[in-house]
Amino acid sequence: MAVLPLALALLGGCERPASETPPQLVGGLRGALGDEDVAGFALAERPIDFVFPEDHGSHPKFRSEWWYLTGVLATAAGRRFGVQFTLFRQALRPGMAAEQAAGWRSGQAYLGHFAIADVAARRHWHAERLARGHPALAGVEAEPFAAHIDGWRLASVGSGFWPLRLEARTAGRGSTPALAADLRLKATRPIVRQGERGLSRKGPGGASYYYSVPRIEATGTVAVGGDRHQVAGFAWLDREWTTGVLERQYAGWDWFALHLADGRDLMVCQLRRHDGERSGYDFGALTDAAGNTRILGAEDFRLAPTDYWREWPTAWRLTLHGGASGEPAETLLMRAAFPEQVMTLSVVYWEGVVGVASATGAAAGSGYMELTGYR
Amino acid sequence: MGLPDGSAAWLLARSQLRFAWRNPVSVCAAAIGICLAVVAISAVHLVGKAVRADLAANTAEGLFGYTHVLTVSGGLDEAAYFALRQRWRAGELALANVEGMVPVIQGSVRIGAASYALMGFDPLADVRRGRVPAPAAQRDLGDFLASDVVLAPPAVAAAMPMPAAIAGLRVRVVEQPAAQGLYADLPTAQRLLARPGELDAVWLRVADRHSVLFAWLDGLLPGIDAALPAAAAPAVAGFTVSAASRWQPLRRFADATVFLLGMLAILSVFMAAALAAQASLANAARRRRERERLLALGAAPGTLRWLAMAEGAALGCLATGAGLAIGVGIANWLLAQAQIDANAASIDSWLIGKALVCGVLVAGALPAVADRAAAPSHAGHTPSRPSRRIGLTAAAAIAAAGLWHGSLAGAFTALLALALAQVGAAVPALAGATQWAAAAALARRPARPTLGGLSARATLRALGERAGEIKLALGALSVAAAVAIAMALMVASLRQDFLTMLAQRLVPGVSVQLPEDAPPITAADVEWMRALGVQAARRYGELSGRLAGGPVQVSFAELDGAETARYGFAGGLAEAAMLNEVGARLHGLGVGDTTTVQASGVEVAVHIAHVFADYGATQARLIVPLAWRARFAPAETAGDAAGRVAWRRATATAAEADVEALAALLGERFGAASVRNHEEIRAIALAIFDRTFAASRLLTAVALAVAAIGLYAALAAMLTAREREFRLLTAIGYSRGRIWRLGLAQTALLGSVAALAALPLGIFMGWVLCAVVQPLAFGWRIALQLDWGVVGYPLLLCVAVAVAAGAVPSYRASFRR
Repeated sequence: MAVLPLALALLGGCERPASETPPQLVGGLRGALGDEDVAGFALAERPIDFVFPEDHGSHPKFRSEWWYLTGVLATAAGRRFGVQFTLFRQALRPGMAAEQAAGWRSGQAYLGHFAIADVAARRHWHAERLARGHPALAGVEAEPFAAHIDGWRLASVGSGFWPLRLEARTAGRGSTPALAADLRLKATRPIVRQGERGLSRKGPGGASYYYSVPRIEATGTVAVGGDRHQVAGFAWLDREWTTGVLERQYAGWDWFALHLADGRDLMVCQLRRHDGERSGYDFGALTDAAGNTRILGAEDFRLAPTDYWREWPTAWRLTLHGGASGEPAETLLMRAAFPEQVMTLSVVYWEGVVGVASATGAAAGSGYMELTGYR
Repeated sequence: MGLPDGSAAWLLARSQLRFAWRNPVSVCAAAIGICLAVVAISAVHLVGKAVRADLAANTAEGLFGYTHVLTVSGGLDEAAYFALRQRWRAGELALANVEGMVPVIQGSVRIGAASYALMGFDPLADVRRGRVPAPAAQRDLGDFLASDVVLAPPAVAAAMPMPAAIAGLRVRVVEQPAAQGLYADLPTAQRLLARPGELDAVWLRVADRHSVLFAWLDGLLPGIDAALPAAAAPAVAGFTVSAASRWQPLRRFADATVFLLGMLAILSVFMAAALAAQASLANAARRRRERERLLALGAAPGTLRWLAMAEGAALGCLATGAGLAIGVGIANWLLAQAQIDANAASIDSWLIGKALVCGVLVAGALPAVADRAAAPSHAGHTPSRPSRRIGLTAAAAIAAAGLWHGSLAGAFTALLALALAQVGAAVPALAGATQWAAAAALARRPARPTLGGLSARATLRALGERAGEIKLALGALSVAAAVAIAMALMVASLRQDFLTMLAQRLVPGVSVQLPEDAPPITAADVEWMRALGVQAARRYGELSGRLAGGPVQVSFAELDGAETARYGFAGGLAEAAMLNEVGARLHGLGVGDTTTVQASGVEVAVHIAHVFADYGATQARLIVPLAWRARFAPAETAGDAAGRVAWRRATATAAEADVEALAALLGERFGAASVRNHEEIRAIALAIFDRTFAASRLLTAVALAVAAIGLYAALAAMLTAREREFRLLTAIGYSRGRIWRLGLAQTALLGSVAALAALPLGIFMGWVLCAVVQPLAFGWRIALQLDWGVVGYPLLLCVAVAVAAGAVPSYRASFRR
């Protein structure tokens, strides 16, 4: 779901100040992406068996798709950094034959977001790239896996899917320093199929195919300006593809991907309705240290904001109810590592590092939070 | 023991009110001057904005905000673009300041019977691509990128054939200001131009650390952007990078025109400051006795200065408000006269800020300075000769440095330095020389006891003794006259060039343009024309090609002596070509060079025999002999290179009637051909030109009016100071009329001094505008037309202004008993 916020924001879920947005770009993408006419595109309607490595690659019959990587990393001295890399694909027209979809006329547009959060410095930097599908500009290959956009690249190192390598850098400009991330990524847990065997329902008429790799060992370097840091930590990869747009009843969503200190991985997401009522389609997944996953529905958890920074709820209380096996209810407290982790790009959303504490206040993990539809 | 502060303030306020009551004209002189200055500033700002918007709306957008153009000698292709992009994203140092890049291909396509300029680009290449056209309905962006769609501005779209008539191509209307021609996604354009894999250029957005400051300055002075240095072109190995301004001279033309008007407004402010200072000095001199009395009573000098400033600021506020209102009215009137949309001329915060700063600061600060200058310790202080020499030398050095710098900013700095030197040193020096000459003349000339002899002596004495007292006002008038001369010379020279360009572009008579698929003109056609009385028929052809990696329009013509003479070349050309200045500048070519042109799939060597001025051209243009058609199209097909044929009629006297009849016959014979009456087009073009520059003439008049007000204030003070002299003249029998005429003669002489000083400065300014500013701003040279009729008119106006300014004070002086 991590990427879904971005997609939904692009699809029209949130607004942003005109001064920060090239009007033609936003209008163009929103127009191109937000069309509710889905004729000609494939739909996510029933569970399917994912086939790998093919499903790591692109699904051009579906209108939208994304590869979404977030990670909380730290230096040996304990200085923490957050890294986010997103590649979003949008089909420009349905039903383009393979011979038509070549060269400049791939029929695909890609949007990339790259961000680094320096927790100690309380600074968050981000960049955006837009490109059309073209072998030299942007695209995704399934085998060997490579997802790239205009110089940013997430790709398999060898013949198999794992390990992956993320290479992204931006030039410094004015008061914004040059940014770089070079990370080697290796999964330590199996893929988690979200929802009903990978079919994640977002409402009565909308669904996506969605899988996650919740715990990935990440090592490498991040650089901010002239400072290069050797880091290690855990990352989270989300993959999702769909055609239907988010239903109009929703104003936005709040999404969390957490690595808990006891070895569990937790994803929860709530869809916020305009009328303030809770959606019955909130969803999540809890994976224990042994790799066993419990799919969560709306009845399994409750999220409530406990603190705000400007319009953004940056602290939350999560109540996780016991499952069928009778585990006791659990409370987790999530708080932004620092509040200013807003992505002010073609779409405005909050995406950044959060710390997790138990009900008693003891540190219980860390992860990423994504908030959309607030601005 | 001094006066208590409250008492001092009260006494001073009363003193000021009493002075204002008794001398309303003197007090108001400065305010009126400031009001007129604000009028000039407001009118120029609003007219400038509107003219620029109008020009922008009527000229092609050019590079849509991109700052540099990157090309490759020999041609650019996609592989080179991708490699460049990779180098940029990898952080190559030379490209560190590049913020965005977009690949572009340009050319012309034939749709139906007409030819259209086409620009292809990748709209997703630059995430913040700015003003590059996009589909009007945003949801169509996907369609634009995935299928053969072209965008056309409404006027172009309306004139195009029905979409159904264009095989495989859909036309969408784009509401993009200043969009001209057609725009398409890169692969669509490559297909339409039959140039798969090729590019013409990569446009770059290069960050400029001064951009915020420059944007601020451009808001303050619309058009100044044309005079500011562009961001440094990145030095990219393997590519040629040039500033956008080189590729869009028309845009620079618009900006530079507006900027010239803005400079005139600055000079108006400058003159307003001078006249406000002059009026303040005169007022302070009149109030000297009262001031000394207040000082004797214990008022602090500082308090006097603060009160003078408060008085000036209050007057300045009133004058600013009035000036803004009048300025907006004048601007709207001017724009209505020029048939320019006045909606763009709305008041903005920049204008209000400028007016307030000008009005309040000038009005508030100068009286305090004047008050200090009028103090006994400063009274009678004038710049010494060494100071003048230093000032003149510094101004000359700044002017020389500005001109040597070779930039628009340098040129305008030079102009400003010269104007300052004119007021601060040249006019005072001339006044001093006049004083010396008058004293010498008086010493040589024995006093004759006739009224005429006395009048002559009085005139010489006034010139000798008083010229120095009003030097500021004289300086301002002189600068106004110089600017008027310079503007008149520039406009006259530009108009002459414009006429030359019209002569080049518009062959006298009727032109008929045949459709692409029409059969070529035959000998029978020519005979048929001769039977109609046509004395000469000329054939022309055109095609698009590439010269040194950039686009070039290749024109074919019968290059005999008559044809080449229109381009300023003597003699016919059989094995050589003529290149326009834009092409010569863009590709570094000149007379005697040999280069190659690619067109129609062949490469032809071209020797350049002449480089011609090509007013308004935005791209390279090469004129080659008609016989070269075979070289460019060995297997000639119908229509290529023979699209346009013009017939010339020598009977100018009956041209209008004949031309209309001929046009009708030609249209009838050649069916869908486009027949144009060149005489009519020429008249319309000239009317547009004159309309564009009407604003400059009116602004010149405003500047002179501002100067007149300043001179009026100065003359009023001067004639008041000569009260005793006029009483004496009345006592010995001078009539009121004689005294008035004497006053007028003296002011006419002073006006002549100002005009004399204005003449060399005006001509020099005109030369700078034509020889330095013009090539830098517009991209083509302009020959200075030193027409003494053009020069004489501002000079006469200068003297007339001086006489008019002196009329009322002289008349009032004649009543003194």
